[in-house]
Amino acid sequence: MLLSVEGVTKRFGGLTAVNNVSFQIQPGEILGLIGPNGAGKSTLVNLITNYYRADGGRVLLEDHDLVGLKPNRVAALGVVRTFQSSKPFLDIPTLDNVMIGAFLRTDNPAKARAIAEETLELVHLTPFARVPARSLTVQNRKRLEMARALATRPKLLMLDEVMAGLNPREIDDALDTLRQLRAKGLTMLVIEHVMRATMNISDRIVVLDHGEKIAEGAPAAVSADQKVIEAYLGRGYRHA
Amino acid sequence: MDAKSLPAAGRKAAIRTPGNVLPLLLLAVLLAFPLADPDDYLLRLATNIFYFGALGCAWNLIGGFGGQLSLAHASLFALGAYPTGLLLINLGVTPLLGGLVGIGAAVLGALAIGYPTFRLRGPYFALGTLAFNEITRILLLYFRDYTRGPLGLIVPFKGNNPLNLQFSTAEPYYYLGLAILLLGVYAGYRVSKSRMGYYLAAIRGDQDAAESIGIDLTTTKLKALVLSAALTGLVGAFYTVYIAYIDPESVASIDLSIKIVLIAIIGGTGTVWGPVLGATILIPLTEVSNAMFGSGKAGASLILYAVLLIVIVLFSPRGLILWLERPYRVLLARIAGKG
Repeated sequence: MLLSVEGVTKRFGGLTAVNNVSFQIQPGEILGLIGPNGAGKSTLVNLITNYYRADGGRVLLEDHDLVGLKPNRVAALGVVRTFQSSKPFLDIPTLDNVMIGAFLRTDNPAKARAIAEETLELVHLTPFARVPARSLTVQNRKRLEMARALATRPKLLMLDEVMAGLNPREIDDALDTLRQLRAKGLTMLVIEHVMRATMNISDRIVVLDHGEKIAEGAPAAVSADQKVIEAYLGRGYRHA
Repeated sequence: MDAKSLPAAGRKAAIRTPGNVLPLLLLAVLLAFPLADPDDYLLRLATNIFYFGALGCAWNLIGGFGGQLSLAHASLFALGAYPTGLLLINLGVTPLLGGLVGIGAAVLGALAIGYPTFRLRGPYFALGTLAFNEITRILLLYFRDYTRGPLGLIVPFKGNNPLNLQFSTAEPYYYLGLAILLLGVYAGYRVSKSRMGYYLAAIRGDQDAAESIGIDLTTTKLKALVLSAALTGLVGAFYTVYIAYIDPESVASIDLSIKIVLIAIIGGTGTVWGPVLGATILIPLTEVSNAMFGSGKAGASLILYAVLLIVIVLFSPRGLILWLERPYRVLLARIAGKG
């Protein structure tokens, strides 16, 4: 397997945000991570990338233990995340944003530029290459954030709600891009609120609720799981 | 000639493009200026612009490109100046060597500032550097047996001696100052074109995002600060032989730190030429203010700085260089059109 999360726990004061969560990610798959608001999805990403220090458990990338490494070391080893509220470098051009990602694998500006141009093409941002990231729309900022992460040539890309706030048309575009990336063999962890999107794209799904893993499996099985329906889809199903 | 035909035209043509010719033209004028036998006052004013411009360029490496507001640059300047002065006065060591010791001291100072404070973010970094600056100034006053405390160090003039960088005329200092400024501009240019420049821009933009794509924040900031300190220390060494007098008030005060920051902010932080423009504006203005209100009343120029800073921050927060950029491009296009 590529990534193995083993019994990871995180407490904030009296609140256990993530409680003894374990799962694995196989090379080449898309793993969906879903759960209601406050379930601990983003916290889990912050734990895997060491933005937060875990109170217990291990995270193994192939054979490396990631716990205790600085976030930049985790990225250098090939685990790269995006942020739920996208964080582009606003004052510099879109292309330069992506070049900075590419610099992780080369110190040559010309090579970084070539990688960045190629990556912008993939997320349909080429027309915006020269404008400052500040002038991009929310959708394009999310694409930029994805491109910047992709340019680091990750082994595992963790996308934290890249489809939140997008309209159905834009979600379809985003799903297309994810499929293209999968076709290239990229492994992804996709955190989403948008159920349709997650069910559509994921090979397997892990469901979190109140910091605990309550289900794991194929999309169809998970969406039929009674615990998941109660925790996450319950109200929607009752009304339906 | 449009941009696309450039690669085909090759390297020589690129050198002849106006964007590269104009700075060289400016350099030629500056090199020739002393030959016109100007007043010594003008030469000294130009020299002051050069070394303050170099200080602005040095600060800009970490403060502008990296967005880390350092208020410790006066102390780095003093760390360059005092070893140079002490070695020259007490042991007769040439400032060519003493300056290297000074640069080394400034670099050590940078590590002492950066290692603990780069873990801090936002205003805490600025406050940490402010504290370092005050500590340095107070230590220079405290160890009076070595530094002569508030009396300062006077570098005795022993006649024209190029090896000790002592000259009876203003021209050699003018050229030394110009060379140091060029070094400062070159450092900024190289950094802005390199991976380090992009990494610093990322750190300026968002540190969490920078870290998420593999940037080692502390190392990148330390490298930039060390480079910045080396350049600042060099200017400090130059100042020591040029002014021939240093004391804690003039080389290690927070006022000097602020003046260096202002030069970069007024000209344009994070740009290669901004600090040069900033010094070209601020230093003559200081002279005018001193002439009008008397240099003893240093308060007058401080009010001037404050007003200038408020105006810049309100109307052109990224510096005056941006106002020049468009006219400059138009000028380039015109010249290219005729050529």
